[in-house]
Formats: sequence, structure tokens, C-alpha cells
Amino acid sequence: MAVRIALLTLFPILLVASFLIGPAAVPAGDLLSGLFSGQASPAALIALEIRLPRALLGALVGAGLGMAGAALQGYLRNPLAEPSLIGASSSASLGAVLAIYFGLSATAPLALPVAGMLGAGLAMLLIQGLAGRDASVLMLILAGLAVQTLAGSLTSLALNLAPNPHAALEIAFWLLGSLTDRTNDHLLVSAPFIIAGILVLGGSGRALDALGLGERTAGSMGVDLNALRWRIIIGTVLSVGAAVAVTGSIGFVGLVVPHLLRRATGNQPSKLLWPSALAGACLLLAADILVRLLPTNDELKLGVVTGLIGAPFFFHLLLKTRERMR
Amino acid sequence: MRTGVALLVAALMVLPVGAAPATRVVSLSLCADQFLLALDAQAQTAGLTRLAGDEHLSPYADRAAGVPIHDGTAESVLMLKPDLVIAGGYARAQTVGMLERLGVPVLRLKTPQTLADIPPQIEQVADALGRGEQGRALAARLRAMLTQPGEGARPTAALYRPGGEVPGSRGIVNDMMKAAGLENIGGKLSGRPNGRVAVETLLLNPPDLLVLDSVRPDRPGVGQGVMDHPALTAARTEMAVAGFPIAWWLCASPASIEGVERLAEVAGKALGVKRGSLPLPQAGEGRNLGDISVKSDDVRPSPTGEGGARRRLPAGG
Amino acid sequence: MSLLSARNIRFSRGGRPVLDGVDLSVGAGECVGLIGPNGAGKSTLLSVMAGLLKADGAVALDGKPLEKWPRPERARRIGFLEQGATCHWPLTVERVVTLGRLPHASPWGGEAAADRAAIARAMQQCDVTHFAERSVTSLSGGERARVMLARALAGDPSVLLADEPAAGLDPYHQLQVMELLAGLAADGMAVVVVLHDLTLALRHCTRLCLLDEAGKVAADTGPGELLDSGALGRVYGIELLRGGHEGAPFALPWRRLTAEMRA
Repeated sequence: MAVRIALLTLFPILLVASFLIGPAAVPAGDLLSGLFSGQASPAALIALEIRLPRALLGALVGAGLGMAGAALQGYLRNPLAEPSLIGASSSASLGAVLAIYFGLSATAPLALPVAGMLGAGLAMLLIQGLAGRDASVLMLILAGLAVQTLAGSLTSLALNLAPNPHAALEIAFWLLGSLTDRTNDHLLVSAPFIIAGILVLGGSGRALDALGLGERTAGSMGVDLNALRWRIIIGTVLSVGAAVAVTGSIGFVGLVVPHLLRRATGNQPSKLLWPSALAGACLLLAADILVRLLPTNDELKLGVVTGLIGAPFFFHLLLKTRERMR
Repeated sequence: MRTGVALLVAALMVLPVGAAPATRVVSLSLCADQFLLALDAQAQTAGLTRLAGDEHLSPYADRAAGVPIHDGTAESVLMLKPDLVIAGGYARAQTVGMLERLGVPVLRLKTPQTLADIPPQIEQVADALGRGEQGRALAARLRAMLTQPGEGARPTAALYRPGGEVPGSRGIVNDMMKAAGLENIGGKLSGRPNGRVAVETLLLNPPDLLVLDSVRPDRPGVGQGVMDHPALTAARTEMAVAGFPIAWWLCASPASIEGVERLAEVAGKALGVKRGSLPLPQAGEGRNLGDISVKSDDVRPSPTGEGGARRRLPAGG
Repeated sequence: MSLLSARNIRFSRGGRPVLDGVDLSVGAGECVGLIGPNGAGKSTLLSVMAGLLKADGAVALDGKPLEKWPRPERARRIGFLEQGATCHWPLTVERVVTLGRLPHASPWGGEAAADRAAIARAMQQCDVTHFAERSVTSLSGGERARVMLARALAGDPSVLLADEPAAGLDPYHQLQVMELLAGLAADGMAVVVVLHDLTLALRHCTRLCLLDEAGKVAADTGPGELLDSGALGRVYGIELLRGGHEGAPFALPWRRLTAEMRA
């Protein structure tokens, strides 16, 4: 309960901070009045067209990644499961890169999230086929590695074949994951999918709890395992695929957030879902604020920051898993 | 400068004075291609890079027709049996090293940082080809074009590339803008010599002229949507937008000097539409371009630029 | 009147018949021991009867085919205890037992008084109340087995299917679990329990169903009659030492039968 209150307090603060902080120093008052003035002043433009979509997209993408991480860990009964580790993120990237590469995203705005979701969907099915449902840690990570490698290679191939000298550079940079200069259009095309994905996953709590007791026990408790599987796949595809398609690959949010909250929520998968969504939003907003505050030579990419935060967590979890497996 | 001297010495060591002129020259980079093509030395050229024939990237693309191309690897270069390899500043260091180890004479061209660096290089290449006379004549013409535009208020400008990349106060883009009578504020926007600029920074400090060079109407995809951000669309009343073919400044080559005139032209047109006047000095107007001339239809103001100009009309008028 | 009945169940795995025309029914007040050699299909039959595995034949709950029961209703009626049941997450004992109420949960959540009473009773019955706050992953095997049984009982099922609930327990806890199951049956529950320990089966079950290696029912009768029939020794291929204590029969596996003895 304390965790929920803390997160519910932190979230609006970070959301507002993300709106007020940016590369250009604009007084907070100008930004806030710009939201409602309806004028076309630079401050109003920045508020409405740049800061607002950035903050909202950050919150949504973070929530989607946090929720997907918690749901996947519950479903696979494995604290190492995470959208980027199982290759869903890199496959969604591949889908989005192809949509950009072939110019589909320019002609049909929906092509971007749809391509991202197609990529994520293929990855989920591949993982399912490679590792099976009751995957061991080792199988899961190996299958994830295989899917990631394949998606990464195909993305590199697309970069190699990129027709425009700037295209390769832009795609490569975009792949690192960022919220910089995302527009309301990006928000509009991805938000419905991300929200739908979060809702689909958020409703799986009880089934995930039961699944923690084993598949047959869960089945005997009235859980429709087939329906649950599709629910997790569809929810992950919607939230991760649509998110990655507009922001590029942002890794480890789905790993770090449930890990931080697991003990505080009594280790119960159902109690982890919504707090993870909220904490994912907070983490991504905070990381995106950090990206804008750090005096680096060029604006640091969000995916780089979450990777730097997430990788040590991953090492830590691996060590814990190793101890348990001994 | 010291590296420049060192490279020159190295080049002279490889090419002893009085050596027979090279007859099978291979260029290792798009930029080196430009020097060979500017001298119209196709007969002495055994190989160019693939991009030499791309009219969007290579100002002399039409001259490259019929000249063999190679894929840039040491083995395919060797197969062309070159008696001289010309490497640009960004040439593949591994490949160049390999060719030198195998005893192929290599002439390294340092990447010019200013337009004034270009004429000496044309002389250098011309000497190696045994066309010293022609080279000096071309260099002289180029130098003559390098007169500074008159003093006075300069319109501010920035080159805006996909992902917010904005060339700053170093390099050939900056020098060409300066020569065309523009003040490049790219460095001021990004706060460093070369970097990225967020859309909101651009909105708060709009230059008089935003130059785009990444749009390729023939190839859809990334790079086309630089001006798609709704905030930038709205800000078009604040700044003029001009499309400028990237070929002129992708490589600092003899064509870049002529490109100054084109830049002044498109900038003047864009700013004129915006302001209803033509404030820019017409650099290079009426000069004889001789060997280095590029067909004027190579300058293709992009649809984005034109569209932007059209959309700006009501506000600017 | 049988509560849960399986008729003519056939199931094969990899072309080999695991169950070949098996009938088994259990009524309220019965504790049926499902016994037989390894690979005789005991666990498979239990899964089929729980509706977790599709097989040829008919399974009926209260006379109505199992597949016609709505999933939640079926889950409320039939409790199932998986072999070697465990929990993947370090939940507290109380939370694990609470999960047993899942089939009764309303879509809007919240624990009703009935839930709390059922949880408390199940924990009491299985003697796990005094470590209710401990993490289930920190328990010993015997403690964990009782917690899992409590989880199954918390759902208030009318039929309990338990797959080797006594495996891996010390004699004290084996007896504790078996007495509990027998007591539940005596109180009106229908219990089917898979057992390997013949002594426990003969001692605590009201009826024993013996499956042979061909996946057929070799015998389905009371413990005394089963011992008298000699089917046990035949199916397991062993010689049994028989005895009686306090009026109840018991048997000890004594030695394997050689090929000649079998003939």
C-alpha cells in the first residue's frame, strides 16, 4: 500500500517535471499558459507540440514496458523475463525500421505502430516455439539471444541497404531509443495500442497468481491456460510493439521495475502488475529528465540510460539465479 | 597544418618529381572522385567509387558515365592495376594501409576545412596526372571565385539534417555559407562545433533561413520528414526554408566553390519570397566557370523547399 | 450415487496405450486409493478426471459431463493437488492458501467473510497456521506439502483429487496427511488419492483401484478383498507379507517374484 501511495505521489511530480524541463530554457509560467492560450507563440508551440507529447509518451511507454515486464515474469515464472531480453523489443524495432525504410510510415502513420507490433508478435511466437511455455532460465535467455541476434542482423541489413546517406544514420540513432522531438502524431498513433495492451495485461493478475502454483494446478483452479497465453502475447505485442515503434528500443525497464517492487508487493504477480506500470512510467520519465539535464556533449539517448541502469540489475539477478540453481 | 605538410611530404616521397604521369588512377572515395572528374581526367581514370555516378551525391555524376567503378576493397582496387591511388580524408585507413604495404603509390588528400584549401589540392592532383598546366589554370579560376562577399548585415542560417543534426562553425558547410553571405548559427544553436539541435531550441532561436539538404525525392524513407514536426510546420512563418542539393558540400571539392553561387541563389530566392526583397549579394555572378561548370539543371530545389515557399507566401507577403 | 465418474477412459501416448478402457467413480464419503506400478497411468487418470487432459471416454461430475460445466464452477467443485506441488514465488503460506479461494473470487476482488473462514479452516486442518507468515520457499518438504494441501482445501471442493500427497514425507507427516484425507472423506468429501505406499493405501482408503501396466483396471474393491484376491502381488510382481492389527489388514512388500514364480 505504501508503495502505491509513493508511486502515485511521484508520478504526477515527474510528469510535470518532464514537461517543464527541456533543452531550451523556457519559463514554467510561459509553458503552462501556453498550454491553454491557443496562441502560436514559440512557448505555446513548445508546450503543446514538443513537451506535452514527450512527457505523455514517456509515461505511457514506461507504463507499457513496466506492465509487460511484470506480466511476462509472472507468466514465464522467471524474474529474468523482460520484453527486450526475449527479443520482443528488437523485433519491434526491426518492424518499425522496415516501415520507415520503405517509406510506409510517411504515407500511412499507423504503419509504424502496426509494423512494430508485427515484429514483436513474431518474436513472441518464435520465443514460444524455441523455449516452450515452461522455459528454464537458460532456454529463455538463449532463445531471446537468438531472436535478438536475428532481429539485429536484419536491422543492420536494412541499414546497409538504406538508400539515403542520412537514413542509415538516422535509423541507427533512432534504434538507441529516445523521446526527443516525438510529436503528438506519434502519441496519437501509439497511445491507443499501448493503453489497450496495458489493460489486457492488467487483467491477467489472478491467472498469473494461479500459474505460480504450476500449470496443472492453475488449470484445476479454473484458469484457461490457452486464453492466458494469448492474453499475455497480445498484451505484450500491443504495449511493447507500439511503444518501441515510436521511441526505438528502450531496454531493461521491464526488468528493473518489477524487481524493485517484487518484495514490497509480497512477491505476488497480481499485486505487481499495476505498481509496475506506474513505476515504469516514473522510471522512464525520470530517465528522460536525466537525459535532458546531463551536460553531455550530445543529448544522451534514453535507451542508453535505461541500459546503463538495467544491465547491473541483470548481472545481479543472474548471480542470484546462479546461487539458486546450485 | 603540420599534418598537411606531413601528408604533402609523404605524397612527394611517393611521387618523385619528374616521375611519369599516372595513367591508371583509382580514386578511393567520393571526394577524391570529384578531383579527377573536375580535371576531366576520365581517360586516365581506372576506377571510381560507386557513388561517383549518383547525381544526388556527386556534382560531376554525368562525367562519371562509362568509367569503371569498384567496391572500395583492396583486392578490387588491385585488380584495376592502378599506378596511383587517390584517397580522400575519410578514406578507409585499413584499405589504404594495405595498398601501401603492397607497393601501390597512394596520394592522400586531406579533407579541406575551408574553400581556400581546395585549389592547392586540385594542383596537387593535376601534377600527379601530368596535367600541371590545366590544374594551375583551374585552380586560378577557382581562386578568383573566392572573393569575400561584401560587409554588412548577413541573414542567419542553419543547415538542418534528420535527427536534428546541425553542422556548426567548422567545416566546409560553414565556409560555404559564409562565402554565400550567410551567417551560420548552427554552432550557436547546438552550443558546440557540430551537434544536434532540439526542435524547441530551433523554435526559440529561428534562423532567417533553414537549409535542408537531405531530401531525395527519388527515394522515399528516412530523411524526408525533417520538417514534419508540427511545431516546425507552425514555425515556418518565422523562417525561410530552402532546399539545397547535398552534392555541393557533401565533399569539399572544386564543385563546392561553384556551389557557393547556387547556395546564394537558393537562399536569396527563399529569403526574397519571405521578405519581398533580395538582400543577398549575388556571389560569383557572371563568372566564367570553364571546366568546372556543372549543368544548372543539377540544382534541384526540393519539393519540400518549394512547398515550404508556397506555404509561406501569405504570411510573408 | 457417485459424485465424479470416469467411464471407459482411453488415452495413449506415443502410440502406447496408457489408459485402456478404465472406469473409476467416487462418491461422497469415499476415499479411493489409486494404486499400481510405475507407468500404469495413475497420474494420467487423475488429470483426465480433473478435466486437465482430454481423453476418449466420458467423465461426469454429478451426472453431467465435465466439459459441460462452466470452468469456474468446475474449479469450485473439484480440488486438485498436483504431484510435488510447489510455488514459484516466495509467497507467504497464508497467501498461498488464500490463492485456493481463486475459484470463488468475484471479478471485483476483495475477500468475503466466507473466504476468510475457509482459509482459516484449511490452515487449521493441515496444521500450518503457526507458520502462516513464513515464505513458502523456506519450508521443509513436509511443511510445503501440507501448505499445498491446505491450498486445495481452501476452495471447499466436494471432490478432491490428490496426486501422491504423501510422497517424500516422513512417516509422521505421511500419517498426518492420510488421516486428514480419510477424515475429509468421512465428513462427506469424495477423495481420490494416488499412492505408492501400499501400507498407507490399505490402511486409510475405503476402496482401492488397482491399475496394471497395460492401463486396465485389475481390481476395484475394498482393501481386505483386494488383499484376498491376490491381485496386488500379481500386478506389482511381488510377494506381500500380510498381517492384521487392531482389526485392520496390512501388507508389507516382502520380495520380488522371479519369472518362474510369476508363471
